[in-house]
Amino acid sequence: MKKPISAYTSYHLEELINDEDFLLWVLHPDEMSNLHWQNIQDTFPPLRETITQAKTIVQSMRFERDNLNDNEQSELWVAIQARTTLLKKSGKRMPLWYRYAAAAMLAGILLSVGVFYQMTQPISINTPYGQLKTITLPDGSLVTLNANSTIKYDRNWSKNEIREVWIEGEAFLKVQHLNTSKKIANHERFVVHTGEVNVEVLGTSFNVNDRRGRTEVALLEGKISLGLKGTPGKPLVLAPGDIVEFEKGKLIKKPINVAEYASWKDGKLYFKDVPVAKIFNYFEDIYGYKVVVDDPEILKKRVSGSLNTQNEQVLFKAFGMTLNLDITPNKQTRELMITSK
Amino acid sequence: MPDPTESIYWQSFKAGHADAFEYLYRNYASALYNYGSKFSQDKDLIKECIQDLFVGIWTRRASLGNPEHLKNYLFKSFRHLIFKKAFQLQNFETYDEANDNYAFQISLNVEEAMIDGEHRINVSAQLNLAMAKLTARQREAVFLRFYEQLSYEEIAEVMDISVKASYKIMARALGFMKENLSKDDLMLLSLLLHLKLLS
Repeated sequence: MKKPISAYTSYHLEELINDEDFLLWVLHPDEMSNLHWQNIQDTFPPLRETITQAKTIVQSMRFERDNLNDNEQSELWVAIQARTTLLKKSGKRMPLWYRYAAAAMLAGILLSVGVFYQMTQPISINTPYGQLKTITLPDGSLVTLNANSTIKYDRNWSKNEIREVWIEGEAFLKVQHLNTSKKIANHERFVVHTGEVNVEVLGTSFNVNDRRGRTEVALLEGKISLGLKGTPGKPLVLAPGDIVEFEKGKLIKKPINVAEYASWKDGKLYFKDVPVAKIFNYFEDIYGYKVVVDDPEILKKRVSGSLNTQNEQVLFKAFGMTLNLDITPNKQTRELMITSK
Repeated sequence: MPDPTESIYWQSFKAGHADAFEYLYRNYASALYNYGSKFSQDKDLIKECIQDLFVGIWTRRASLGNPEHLKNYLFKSFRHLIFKKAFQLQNFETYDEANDNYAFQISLNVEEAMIDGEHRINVSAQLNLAMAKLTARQREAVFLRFYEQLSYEEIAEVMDISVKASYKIMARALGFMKENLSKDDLMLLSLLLHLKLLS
């Protein structure tokens, strides 16, 4: 310790907190510093209270921490494994697998049929109204599924086959880029099927919305091409920032702020000069209400802003206040009554 | 490397042992996530950078050296990845690190332990207000210094600046906060900022 004990006689709280030795002791106490500070307190009993206070204050300061929960940590690890050679290494454990296989055969054909059925059965995940879900695909690609949406894909993705998913509703995808050379092998391809459109992808993030009989695809990063189902015509290639809508048999490119477009995945809704009718459509799709409006003029208004979508009650209230409307959800009839104030 | 166990794991990782790789991941994932989250609200982006970081070191493991401080090495590479990716996504309007044109958001909590309710809220608000007025670079240095407890040399390494610059950034941050806080607030703050300031 650098200072003689007597130096501390006249210390107040503030000086104590500024004292390097004091902080070291509080944050990283060891036998020697414990002894030193015990000694100080014994020599100058009036300091005891000040020291206790200062100590508590130091220990009570904390930076807010952003936590990665165990689940997320494990999901991330799976994704890392998928992208490294770690999964292939498990081939060394083949003998064990054989043993299981043998056991399964002994247990009877019925069981093995059951296992086989489960292994080959595609995975289907759907989200209820008002809830998002993030899914890691077998190749490590990430899908955020919006509320009231479904994704389907094969349980096992073989090394030589195209990666394929089927989506109904709305999803945001971040696709793992596997292409390393100029030539694109089958397994490097990634295709999203929606009602009418196939989206072909090479390492990218984009948003697919397939609701109300039309499909919208917005690209944030990378490159994708769109083709219509059953028509072999020339695919439409999208650049980042493009959004394409498919309606009545045609693909139309539109300008839009794509970052805002996919904001739902962060529990927010951004919109810029959007007709109120469109927002109400969104409420219907995401929360499962039927919107009932007393005055159709409301639908023609245009709004800009940002809303937090995590709490449906708060969302309706905030939106109502902005537009001077009463928005009342009826849980029984699943109707959303909109009345002008 | 200061921690002998870590050094053993590092060697084992470089030799291609998956267990050691997983150990390193488990050991650093949450600290990296916490650090990364200060740069961007986009949690997926941060997770993707963690993925890229670990996939990257695994693929390049044979050619990697023996960093003196593994943590600094990982933080530095991770930071680099975030900037690269955020720039591609144009989350940061222009990628101009030198002019502090990036985001670094931290908030401080004063725990309820000792200080009473209203006063605690006031002090927290004051602290966070003062923090908000700092530049991103200053906030980042403060975070690395007092949360991750890095030395000035280590901060310089992670942030890719000179040691002298890291001292300067911190001195400015502290000076600014002194001017912007009342004596009471300052007392609380100084304890935070003084943790190992002089070491």
